[in-house]
Formats: sequence, C-alpha cells, structure tokens
Amino acid sequence: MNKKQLISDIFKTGSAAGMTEMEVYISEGEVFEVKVSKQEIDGYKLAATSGLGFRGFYNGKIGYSYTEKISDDSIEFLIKGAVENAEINDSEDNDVIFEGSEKYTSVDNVNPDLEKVTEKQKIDFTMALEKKALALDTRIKASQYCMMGSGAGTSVLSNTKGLDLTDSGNYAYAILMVLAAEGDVYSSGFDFLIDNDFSKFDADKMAKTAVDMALDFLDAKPVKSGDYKIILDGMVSADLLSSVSSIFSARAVQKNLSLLRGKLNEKVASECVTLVDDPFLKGGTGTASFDGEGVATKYKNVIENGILKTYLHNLKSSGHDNVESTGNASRGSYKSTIGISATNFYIKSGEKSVDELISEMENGIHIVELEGMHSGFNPISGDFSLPAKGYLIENGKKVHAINQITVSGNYYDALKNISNVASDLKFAMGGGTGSPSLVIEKLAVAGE
Amino acid sequence: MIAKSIITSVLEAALSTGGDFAELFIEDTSRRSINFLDGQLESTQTGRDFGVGIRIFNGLNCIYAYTNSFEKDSLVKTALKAAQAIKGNTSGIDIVLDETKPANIHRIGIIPDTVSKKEKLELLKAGYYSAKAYDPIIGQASARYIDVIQNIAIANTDGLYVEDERTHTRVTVNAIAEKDGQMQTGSVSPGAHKGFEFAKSLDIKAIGEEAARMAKVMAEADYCKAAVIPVVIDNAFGGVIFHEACGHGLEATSIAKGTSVFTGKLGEKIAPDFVTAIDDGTIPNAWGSANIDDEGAKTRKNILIENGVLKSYLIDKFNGRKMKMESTGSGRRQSYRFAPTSRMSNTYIANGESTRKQIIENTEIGLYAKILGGGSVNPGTGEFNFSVREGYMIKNGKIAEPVRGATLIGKGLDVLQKIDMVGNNMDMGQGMCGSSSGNIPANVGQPTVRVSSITVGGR
Repeated sequence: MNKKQLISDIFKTGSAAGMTEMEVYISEGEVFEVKVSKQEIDGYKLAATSGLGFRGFYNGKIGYSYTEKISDDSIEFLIKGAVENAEINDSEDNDVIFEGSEKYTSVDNVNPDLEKVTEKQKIDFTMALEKKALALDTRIKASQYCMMGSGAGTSVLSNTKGLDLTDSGNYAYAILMVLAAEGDVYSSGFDFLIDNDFSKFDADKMAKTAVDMALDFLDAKPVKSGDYKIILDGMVSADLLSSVSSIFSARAVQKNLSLLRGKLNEKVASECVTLVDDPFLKGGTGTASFDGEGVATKYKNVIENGILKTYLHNLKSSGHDNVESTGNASRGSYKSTIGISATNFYIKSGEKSVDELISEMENGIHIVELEGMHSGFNPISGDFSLPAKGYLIENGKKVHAINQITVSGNYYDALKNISNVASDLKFAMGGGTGSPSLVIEKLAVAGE
Repeated sequence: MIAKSIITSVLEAALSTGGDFAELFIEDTSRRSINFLDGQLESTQTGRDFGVGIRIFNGLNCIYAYTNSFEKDSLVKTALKAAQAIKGNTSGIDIVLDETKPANIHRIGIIPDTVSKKEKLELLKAGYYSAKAYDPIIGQASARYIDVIQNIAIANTDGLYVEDERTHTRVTVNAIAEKDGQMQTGSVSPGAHKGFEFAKSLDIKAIGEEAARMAKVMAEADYCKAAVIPVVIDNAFGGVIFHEACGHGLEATSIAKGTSVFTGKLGEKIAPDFVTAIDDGTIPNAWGSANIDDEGAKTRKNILIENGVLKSYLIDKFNGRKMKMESTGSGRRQSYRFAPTSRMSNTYIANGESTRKQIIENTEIGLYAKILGGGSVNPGTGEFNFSVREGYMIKNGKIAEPVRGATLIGKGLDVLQKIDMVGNNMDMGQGMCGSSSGNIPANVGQPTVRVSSITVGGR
C-alpha cells in the first residue's frame, strides 16, 4: 500500500483522537542466510520484513505503539495503544518530537557491489569455507556453525513537524566454528567477519584461523590460580565494551545506574585510552547520518587520554542536564521506545603490534576468548568473573594453550590498569563496539 | 488468520520445484510492556507482531523464508522465491487441509489485553516501592511487566492445520544496593503461561523485598575466592545447571550434526543411579509449556535421563529426518522469523531423597549457590559456565559468610557424574533461553543438588 497515504491517515486518526505532535518510523529490509553442515545446505533463509513504530503526544505526554501488519486495519490499534500509554506516562522529563537539525553529514553505507553478489556465490563461499576447514587437519571432525548472510535495509522517519529522513545500508557476515577431537578431548575454534565488501571474505584465512584455534586448545590446560598480567585480545575487549556500553548513557547516569555519575572531566581510564563514538565510520554497523530522534549524528571522544569528556545523550536526557543532544538517541527497531546508545564505539589503536607487546610482557596470559558475558559480567557494578581461554606467556613467548580458567576483576578498575594499547583494532561479532588488544597490569585468574 | 484457500496456494507454490514437504507458520501476536524506574514510568509499549514463515524440505535440505505481508500474491511470490533454492519439478502433491483442535490444557483466567495499563502500573509501583523501602542501602530499583498473547496457525503439506493461542505474563523487580562506591543487584522475575490472574496472585510486596534482600546481602559480601570445591546448588532456578551443562547437548540440533558430547550415548549410563531428568512441555500453565510445539506436534513429557541412563534426546521434525527418529514434540521458535529446531520446555532433575538440611550438614567445606544467574554452554565440548547471583561459603556443615562474584565452570558429562546428593524439594524457575531459533520461555528446575567438585572462579 502507499506509505505516504498510510502515514497521513495515521496522523489524521491520531489528531481526531486528540493527539498533537506525532511521528512514524518505518523500517524495511531484506535478509539472506545460508548454513552448511557436512557439505549439505543445512539452513537457507530469506526474508522481506517491514515494521512501523508510532509515537505521539496526548495531553502533553508521549505514548508509543508499533505494528508489523502495515495496513489500514492496524491504525486503530496504533492510536489506541499510544493514547493508553500516554495516559499512564508520569515521567517528569520531556520527550521531544524534533523539527530537524540544520545540517546532516551524508554517509554512504550502501555498497552497490554487494547487491550484485548472487545467492549462489554466497552458497559457494559457505561450502568452500567448511570444506577448506575440514581439509586442513584430520583432527577437525565437523563444523559446529558454518554460515554466511547478508542484508539490506532502509528506515524512514517522518513526523508532524515536517521532518522526513531516510537512511539505507547493507552488510554481509560469515561465521565459522569448528570442532576438533583427539581421543576423548574436544575443542572448538571460530572466526567471523562482518563487512559490506564481499571481496574481503577470504575463506582460506577464516578456515585457518578457526582451525588453528581449535587445534591449539586440544592440549590446553589450566594454570595455577593467582594474579597475572594480561593481554586481552581486541575482540574480547570489544565484547566487554559492548556489554558495559550502557554506563556511558546520560540516562543511566541520571537514574543512578552508572558508576560514571559525577565523573565528567575526571580520569576514568589510563592515559593511553581514547574511546570514540564515530557515526561516520565506513562500513560500520552503527554508521548513520541521523539518530533515532532525527538529530544529526556527531563524531566525539567520549574518553580522551583517560579523561571522561561526555556522556551519550538523546533529547530527553540532554533536556534534563541542559546540554545539547550528542545525537545518540537509539531506536533499536520500530518495536523500541527511544533510548540511548553509541554508534560505532571503539578504543583507538596504539602503536605496537600484539606480538611486540607479547614479547615485551615477559610473563602473563594472552586471553583470546571470554565466555558467559551475559551472566558473568554485571555492567552496573562492573564486576566480571568469566571463563576464559588463552595462552601462557613466559619470557615473551607462548608456552601452552590454557582453558578451564576464569578471569575476574572489575571493569572500572581494569580501565585504569591498562598500560598499553596495541595497533590491531577489531570489532565485536555484533559490530558496533571495537577495541585493539589491551595490556592490563593485573587480573585474578582461577585455575588449578 | 489467513484463509485456507490462500494457505493451500502458498503451500503448492512452495513445492513447485520438487520439495517434498512444506509448512506455513502464521503468527499474530500482541504484546504490552511497562518499565517503571526511579519512581516514574520509564517506558511503555504496545505492539503487534505479524508475519508468516514458510519452510520447505527437500530430503535433508531445509529452506526458510518469512515475510510480514499477508496478501495472497505477495505470499505466493515469497514461496516461489524460496522454492528457487531447489532445482527440480513439482511433485504434484494434492493438499487437503484437515483441521485438528488440540485440547487446551492451559486455561487463561483474565485475558491480559482486557486489563488497563493503569492497573498493571499500580502493581509495578507496589513492587518498586517495596524494594526501595526495604533498606536505606537500596539506592535504585525498577520493575517491569510484560504480557504477550501469541496466536499461531500451522499448516503443512501432510494436511495438518492447527491453531493455538499462548498467553504469557511476567513481572520483574530489580533492586540495586550501593555501598562504598560499588553497586550490586538483586532480581526476582516470576512468569507463567497465564493471563493477568497470575500477576494478581503474586505477593508483589514480598517479591520487591526479596530482590532488595539479594542486593543487600551481595553488597555486603566479600569476593568469592577461587577454588575447586563441592558446590551445593539450591532448588528451582538452580536447575539452570542441568539446562546448560546437559540439556543443550541433548537437543537434536547438535546431536544430528554429531557435534554434541552426548552423540551416540543413548542407552548408556551417563550419571549416577539417583539422577533422573525430564523435559515436560505439558505441565498446565507452566512458563515453558504449550499445547502443541511450533511444528504442530503435541507436546510431551520426555524422560531424558532415567536412573542415570540416557533415554531420549529432544527432537524436532527436520533433525528427526536426519537422525531417522520421530519428533519428541520439541520443535520451538521465538517467532515466524525463525525456523524451528529442537529446544527445551520445562526441564528439571526429579526429586531424590535428601533434605536441603541434610545436604548442607554433610558438606564440610563448600559453596552454597543459593541463586544462580544465567549461563551458557558449547555443546561440542560440553564446556559450560554460569554465575552465582547469591552465594555463601559452607563451613563445617553450616552456611557461613555470603560471597559475591563467583562463577562455576566445567564440562557437562563430568558434572553429571559428580552429582553425589539429590534433594527432595524440586521446584522451578523461569528463564528466557536463547539459541538458534531465538529466545523462548523455558522453565528450569531441580531439588537442591550437590556436585562433589566444581571449579569456582573468583579472586
């Protein structure tokens, strides 16, 4: 059906029900994914999706609703839901339907070459990925996951203040997880890539990374419990940052849910740490020209040489603090109410390679995997106690692989204990957050 | 939700290139949520999820497509596009849909969309203020309410047509205790396959107090020291240990690929005699229950381990084909966006003989894991981990000081074999289980259980 007509009908029905300023957010997308197991297509998924999120003011308060059935018969549901939600809204902070920023930086997040890649090419890549991994070593018994996917999406923000914005993007990803076995000992290795440039998908490289990791850990063993100097792999650090990123939200600070409260312009990390929020990163999963409220996005240092320079704001939180929005209103999807989140959020790279840092470290542990992030890491307290895999380092050299240990500490303390930052910026599997490998002076390890 | 004549056309289109089986999963779900934080409404949402999932089998290949459209042309087009992944000729199956009506064993008392948001908000406020009032150490609290009415229809080329309605209601109270610049959290989150009568039946004041009590105890606790010691895991949500350490490894998803440590172990003794474990999707109104699974098969009570012997896997239709075994009614999915796969429902270790008191008195030194947090597992290696939300040391058979920040790690088969005492106080707790077919409500359960030795992470 005609989208413009539908939006206009929604606003008309809302007005008739007594609503004033209103906004519609529509996202549409396409998804493709293929999974391979034992050289058979084990999963093959394609989808065309769309959804509509609505919000508007009723008696001076905002109310939300959404639908995935984009048709006339959903209009009444949307308006009725939003009015009822506005009626119970007793929040003292004011929401804003925004009239628009003066200027938007255009971002080019659609790679036209990716659209030309056929489903067959993606299937061939995924088949080759598994085949190459299994051929590398007889101890590789199976692929636990071997998949490739791609997607494209467009979102439209349209409101009664005349704002009408559109953003588009596309992406592709591949994930490989292999299982190695020797006698009764099993071990896994994985690799992944997310990028909108298909030419960067290198099956040989991914297969080798995953296989090497699985084989390394076949003869892994724990180390003695104690405090160790740690090199935290960039991807692991990026995962931790992703889990903890809500502490940078001004809303979390205002609601006393972040220990960064009262720390603006204070030292919260070592001098070698600069944390940026970069909405213009080419190919980034958080790349966008406007945020969830239609405010122009901005590049900024959140932590600069260890000093906390700003929290992340949307219009509501910035109104509460009497500052400008930092363009970080999030609208995870049409189903979400407006929140706050970073765009592409990463720690800036340092000078030295990981290998150089390992050889300089003398004794310690190189952590390459942390698990159980959603349960063993409390982002509010910053406490973590997580099962880990890595390598024991003695005299600047890898001695053996380590498993069945846990690494414990506190994220806020660890930030201050970073003594060096490597040059290998990596992004977490979901994209969005990134980090180079970090040298942390001391963390507690539980093993034997 | 969609006319049967349209469904038949879509199924025919799905088989037009030689597929041997096709299925439609039609979903129309309404959901309402409220978040109350810091004495004010933080957010509230009302929404409608609507979509159609189309699944095609061609031998051991599986194609899945989904769309939010509901018009005949667009659905047929999606089915044809999906069918392009198969290169063959139509098998000319004549589809006659035969509607069956499963008995509804989950009666809903108060349909939640007939209750005003105001009434739901009042309930949350009571939980919130009870947590805040518990102790001055409670610096912040929040409460969350969710209800979901999921209407589904499943039709397939075997002639199945079946509809079901699932209603879930859940209330959560979180409390945060602050001490010396540190924050600790407590959370209580009951849920059921019920309507608003469930929320009304809760002692919401006690729930708020319990969340606050947990946060306070943990804020005043010292960090757990790392050790390899006996661990007494308490009943109800403690069952997450079986869910993570063993349950996921028994799902056909990894068994069929041969990437589970439990592959090929049917009929073998994998645990001590006094361990019996069950997955039961038929428990009336339980959080993980349903009349039918998301492939239209009747849910069942499946005995997974009986007196230590592995009796059954959890099997869905597609993995059943690969394994040449029947479905166990375990095909589940979060929504039309996911192809179903084998999943747990309400999974628990059955009662043994001991009392909690006897188990603790018999433990000279160890960790008492009163409340566990979530966890995860790699079914290929069996390595699991989970966090202890509320823990205490056991010294000389008595519960001693509280400890925080403990994590339990180990391997599924090892931990099963190391269970050395099983209590008689089985109860269940509610969780959201995440896997390849999305996040679904699942109950975990057990009586108090002792494991003779687990690596406890701490500092």
